[in-house]
Amino acid sequence: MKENLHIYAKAFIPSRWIKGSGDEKMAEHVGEIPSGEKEFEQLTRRLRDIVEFPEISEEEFENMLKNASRVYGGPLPHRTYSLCPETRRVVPALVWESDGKVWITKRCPEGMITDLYYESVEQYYRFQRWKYDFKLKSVNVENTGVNCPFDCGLCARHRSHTNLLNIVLTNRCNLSCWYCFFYAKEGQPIYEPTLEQIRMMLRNAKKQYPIGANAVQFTGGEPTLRDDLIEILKMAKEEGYDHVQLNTDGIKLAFEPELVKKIREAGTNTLYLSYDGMTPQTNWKNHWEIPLIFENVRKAGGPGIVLVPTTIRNINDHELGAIINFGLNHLDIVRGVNFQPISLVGRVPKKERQRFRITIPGAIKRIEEQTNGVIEMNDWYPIPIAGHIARFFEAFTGSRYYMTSHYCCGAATYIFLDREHKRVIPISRFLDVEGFVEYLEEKAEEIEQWKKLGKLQKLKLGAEIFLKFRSFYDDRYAPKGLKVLDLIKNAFMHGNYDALGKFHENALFIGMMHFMDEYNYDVERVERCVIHYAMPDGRVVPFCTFNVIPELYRDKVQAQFSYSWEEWKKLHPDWDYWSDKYFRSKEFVEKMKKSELYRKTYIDIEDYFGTIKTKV
Amino acid sequence: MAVKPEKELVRLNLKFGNINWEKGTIKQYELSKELGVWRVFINGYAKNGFVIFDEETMPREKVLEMLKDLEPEVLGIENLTVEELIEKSMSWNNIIGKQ
Repeated sequence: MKENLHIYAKAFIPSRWIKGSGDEKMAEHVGEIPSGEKEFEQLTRRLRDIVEFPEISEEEFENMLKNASRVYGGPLPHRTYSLCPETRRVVPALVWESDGKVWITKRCPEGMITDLYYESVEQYYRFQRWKYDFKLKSVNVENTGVNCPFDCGLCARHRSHTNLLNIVLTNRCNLSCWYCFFYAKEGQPIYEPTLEQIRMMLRNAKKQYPIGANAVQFTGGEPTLRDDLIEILKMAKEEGYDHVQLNTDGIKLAFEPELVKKIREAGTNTLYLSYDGMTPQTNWKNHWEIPLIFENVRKAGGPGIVLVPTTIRNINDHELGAIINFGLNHLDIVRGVNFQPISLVGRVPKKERQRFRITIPGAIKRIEEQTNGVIEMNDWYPIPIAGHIARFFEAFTGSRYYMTSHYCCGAATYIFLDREHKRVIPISRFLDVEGFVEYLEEKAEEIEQWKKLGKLQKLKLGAEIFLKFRSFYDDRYAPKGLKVLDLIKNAFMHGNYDALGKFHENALFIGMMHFMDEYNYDVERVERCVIHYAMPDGRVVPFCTFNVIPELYRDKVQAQFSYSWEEWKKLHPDWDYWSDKYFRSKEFVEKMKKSELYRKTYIDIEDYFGTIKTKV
Repeated sequence: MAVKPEKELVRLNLKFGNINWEKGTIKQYELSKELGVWRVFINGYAKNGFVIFDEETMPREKVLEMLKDLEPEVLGIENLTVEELIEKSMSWNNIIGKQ
């Protein structure tokens, strides 16, 4: 498994102080470059939960496939296309229902393969209702998309513009994660696009038609290893990107407060920070460094942090509520938690998939359990609901940004902290979000009929929407001290978002994004992907083709544009491979354990959900 | 950088005598894997396509050999540089319908 399991994850393991975990003492591995290998092996000795895949005969499969719906958003069973993990052929696949869950089955040349697609039929249909398609009218390749997902991209068949552009800045990394084959090992080619190439990639996505990208994430490897990082961040702003995000393990930020300051001053909006659990075992990557990172971000006055836990069944899925609680305790700097259910890329045996597979509804269910029902299944919304809201804003203000991913790709909500009563309130408890969006759609239709929206007409309409908004809003359940109505009033009547700062002080975004792998691959999803990678050869490629078919995209293009080890050494004579690596010493860990900062970060925190059994 | 912008590439425009969607998709995948191939599109429905490749790492004969079972006929040959290929890929050069 070790050779095959490539996890877009960063870390894992159960806690000894969270309900549901045992008291078994977990080993800590310090005094070395963090790799997570020992922690993972130890953790997988004990399994709580195995997914039983349903059986389906070839005959049943064929019958269902024959009668399955074919139009996007049709009822289950639904016919789509997938990818054979072994031969890499594009094969017909069936998305179907059994035992309240949604499964995907395909007939590959080597036999039938089934995997879990979505753990709740009910949520599947609730989210499906909000599907939304967009038509991109610019392309980057001549391919028409008939050979999707081998035609990327973006091709004429793609149905979303780039919502978040990823640019890989380097494949150098300061960690050595055991499952990762992406980072450059000693002697291997180094991929590091030039400033000119980065600018080209930024412009390419920015000039998509009719809507260009407005958010970029710099990723790696570890992007903070680049000496010219600040220049790159500034460049993104120069090129008109309003949202600039840095995907990092944060290690360098823990020890270089000046770097954090420079990153903020360069205009970085968000640190997309790996954070997989509450203990040194589940979060072997940066558990000990997190208090320092937080301290440095506080001192620098930003950027805002989004915690990113890769979520794995039997590994860290019992800590999801605790991670949200942690985020709420650091709401002055943490803007969100974005869970990423594991993507099991590579050849992964069925047994392993049964142990580790989790999907969005599964993670949401665990959050419901682990927050004592404070955040329920129905508090979540699918990403494409934003497409419906975008339609209104396009009609009303002319500003356009359509988040139109497949309804199974993501989910999100906002939770609010009522500090006075120490209560956590999801937005859905005081705002009928779906009712309000339906109303906005009606208004969008109305506005679209008009030829031109005059200033006075706009103001009148804004006032009307604001008044109507009150009927969707219940003040009795709203968090105290948060003036949601003022915020909405400013947004609709004056286009003024000044109140947003206040909003973020008391609100935490929680999201889910489930990237696919060969086993649950659905071409309908990839056609609608909103998170893309820019490649230095001029193409823009959806996340789940870039990473799931690396031999055609990520690895291949990076091999074409890499420096050989010798070339790199010649260009950087003072560079040493090992100086990139982070060595976590025992002394550092001991110092952190005893520190006030560590205590304040992890131990002396509020338990907003009443689920923490004992503290460390 | 391993690739210089002025690097020469070759484009073969092709027509196929023995093809369907499945064969085209499989062949496109096989060719795409090759490091010397920069772009490839094989349309099993329209029975045509193209391959853009670097002749230094991928000889023309090898490309045609790989395509042999699709019974390819070369309709045209063009030369272009990596820089030109990238420029041609830019979004602003490929708007397929104005709003």
